[in-house]
Amino acid sequence: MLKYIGKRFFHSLLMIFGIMIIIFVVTHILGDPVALMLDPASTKQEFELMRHQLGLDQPIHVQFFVFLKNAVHGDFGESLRAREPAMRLVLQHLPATIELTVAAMIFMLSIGVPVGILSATKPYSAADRIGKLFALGGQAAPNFWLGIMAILVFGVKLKLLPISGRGGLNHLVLPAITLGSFGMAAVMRLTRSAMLDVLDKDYIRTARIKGLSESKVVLKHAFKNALIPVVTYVGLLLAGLLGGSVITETIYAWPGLGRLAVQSITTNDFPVVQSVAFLASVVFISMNLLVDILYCWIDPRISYK
Amino acid sequence: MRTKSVVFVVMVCLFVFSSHVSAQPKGTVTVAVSTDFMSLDPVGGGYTGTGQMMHRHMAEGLIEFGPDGKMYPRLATSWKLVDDKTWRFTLRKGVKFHNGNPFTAADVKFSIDYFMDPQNKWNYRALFAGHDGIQIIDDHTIDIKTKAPDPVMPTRWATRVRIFSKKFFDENGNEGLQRQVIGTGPFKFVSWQRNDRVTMEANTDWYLDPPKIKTAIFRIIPEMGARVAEWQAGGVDIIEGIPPFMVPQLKKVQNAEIQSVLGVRAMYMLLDTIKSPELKDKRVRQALNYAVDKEAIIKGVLNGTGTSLGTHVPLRVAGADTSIKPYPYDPEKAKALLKEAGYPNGFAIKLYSPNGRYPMDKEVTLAVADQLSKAGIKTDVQIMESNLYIKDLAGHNFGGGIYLIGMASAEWDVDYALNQLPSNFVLCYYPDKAVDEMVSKTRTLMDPNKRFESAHKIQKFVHEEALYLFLYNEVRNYGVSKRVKGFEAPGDELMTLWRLSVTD
Repeated sequence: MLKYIGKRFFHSLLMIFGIMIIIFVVTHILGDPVALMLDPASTKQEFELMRHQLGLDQPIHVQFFVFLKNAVHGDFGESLRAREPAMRLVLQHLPATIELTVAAMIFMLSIGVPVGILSATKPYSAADRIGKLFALGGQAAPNFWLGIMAILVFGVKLKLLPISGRGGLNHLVLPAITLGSFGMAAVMRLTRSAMLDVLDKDYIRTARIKGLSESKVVLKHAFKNALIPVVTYVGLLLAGLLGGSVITETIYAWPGLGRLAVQSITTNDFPVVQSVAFLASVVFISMNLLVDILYCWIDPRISYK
Repeated sequence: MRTKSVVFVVMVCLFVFSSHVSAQPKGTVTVAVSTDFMSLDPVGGGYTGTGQMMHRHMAEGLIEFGPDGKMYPRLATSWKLVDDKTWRFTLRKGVKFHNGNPFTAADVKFSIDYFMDPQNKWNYRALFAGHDGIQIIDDHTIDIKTKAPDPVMPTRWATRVRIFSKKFFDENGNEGLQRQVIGTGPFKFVSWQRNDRVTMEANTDWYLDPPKIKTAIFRIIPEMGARVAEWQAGGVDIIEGIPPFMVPQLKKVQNAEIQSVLGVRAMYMLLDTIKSPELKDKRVRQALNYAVDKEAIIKGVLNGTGTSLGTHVPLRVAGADTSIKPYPYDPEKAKALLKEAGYPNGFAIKLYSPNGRYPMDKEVTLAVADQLSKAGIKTDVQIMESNLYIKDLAGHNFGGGIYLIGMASAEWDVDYALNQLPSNFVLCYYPDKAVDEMVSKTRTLMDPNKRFESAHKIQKFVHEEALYLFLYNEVRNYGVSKRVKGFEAPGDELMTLWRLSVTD
């Protein structure tokens, strides 16, 4: 197991290295931060001076190696705009994103899983049909649309909930539902189909013959075995959300990583873009690994050698 | 007699009581803005228009612009020319910073030196290329020197440079400036949650009439739709930058109003005379101007929020020649001019436009292209992501064509627009020695009458030669809740909150 983790860790490093090359090259080719920073009425000399001060007049491979050398030492450079270390900015925005992600996850799982189980245990019943309708809606409605509709209905018309910014728990409701609705629908569908699959298995029949109560059969014997696809999906989704959710955070003016990413991309703030990408890829890769390890716990037949 | 004296005493009590009440600031005004401070430290690469606007509520300049575009004395009570290259500022006495430090000439010198230090990479430093140092005469007098005679120097300092406490910097360094704003302004810094909100409270010791509101909050809501929704829901009192297409609908919002004001940004199109041979011909450039129906664009695309222009100078700035009329819409004349220039069947050209850099930019470009094609010019419109567009525009990377641009004269002076003409500026697509000479001569005339007279001549030249495809002067739209009294919509981005009061 340890050897497996070691190998995966090494692979992860290679992957992060690859990601950083791509991000570095793409940002440097596409944008010129100086053209955005300086007043358009600046002279050509001022442009040259600023480029030189920022080290942008160096060939791109030289810039990359400088970046890499510093990154190894944990220094991701100073934001071109904020006069602060780029990674510090990223870490400042992380709590808001974690808060939103956790809220969205709670919404997603607390509705998706029970409704999925209910749908599976009573297929083609009214509850199942309503559940499926929700799943269809949740997956089909893009979250920018859902977000705007929620803002219009609950904020502008009914004035029930705050619609932008970070504050108390009530500020979390709309963004969390908007962000979680797609995942909620997916979790529900996955739970339903995995449960239907498992409920047909011989050991479920055995459990029932043994005289176990229906709730024990469903929740203990069936559900645990149906968990693997759900855990895989939720793990990857969680990793994705922790990297910041651009659309939801923008619509609700939520001060998280997604906003920071958009902001730094639109201002060509390379060090910040690279730091966000680095953090997001580390989170994603570690979550992947964590999910793989979780499999062993869920299904003891799985082992890594 | 007795009744009279009782009435008198009651009146006095009421007066004392009411004046006491009115002196206490009360209520909160919340403003939604699109961008945040990049840093509380004003230098570095990220001094945005919104950043300046928020800063000036806490840290003042020597002079400040009012919403009307006029200059008002602030930390300087007066200023005069000592000789052609020296400006003398008399500083206000008895002013204290928010942390209690007294304000003196040393703070001014420190602040200006701090902004001008190349190591601090201030993004507006280019505008101060002519700065030649600052000298302290006494505790309340300073001289600012310029390398060449510079008539708009005070204007420039007024808009861009904030005065911070030297003592605070000596004790806390850069880190201090990044955490706190210690100025002398009408509001004191309370807190800043990056990308969320900036909170300030009234400075009741301000040397001018202190603010009537107790708290000012700037909330950062980047998405226009969300900003408007929050305003409609009553979550914020004032919003800026309402796009023209939303104005008619938002005028119906209850308990609020839309304030529209002629701005200081001119929208026009750069004509690339370097790479497009057709555009070298003055008759072709004039034909383009005759071929575009600006009024139709303003009416159809901008919902009437704009004023057509005959030059690239915004109408409200000092020195703008408002007697110059826009080119009338005359497609026949355009065709005749094209024929005369040797293009009886028109020619093909590319139009480039950013997407979302200016309100309705892409729609305006498409409308222009449509009208040009009616005059026989075959257009190919390229809509680009805003960043790439500016990068390629500043880098002269396009292979020739017509490029949409908007320039805001934040200094309320024609100087900024003149600044865009000479060949050493990045967006110059009409390099001409004669223009260079004309502009540099005008920009150093110290007598305002002579300077404006000369600027008028240049504007007539720009119009006559049709150096650009002139479009319109932008109108800025603000949404203001009725509970807020005293808001005056500024033509630039600089909202002023210290004159506001609230009804509840």
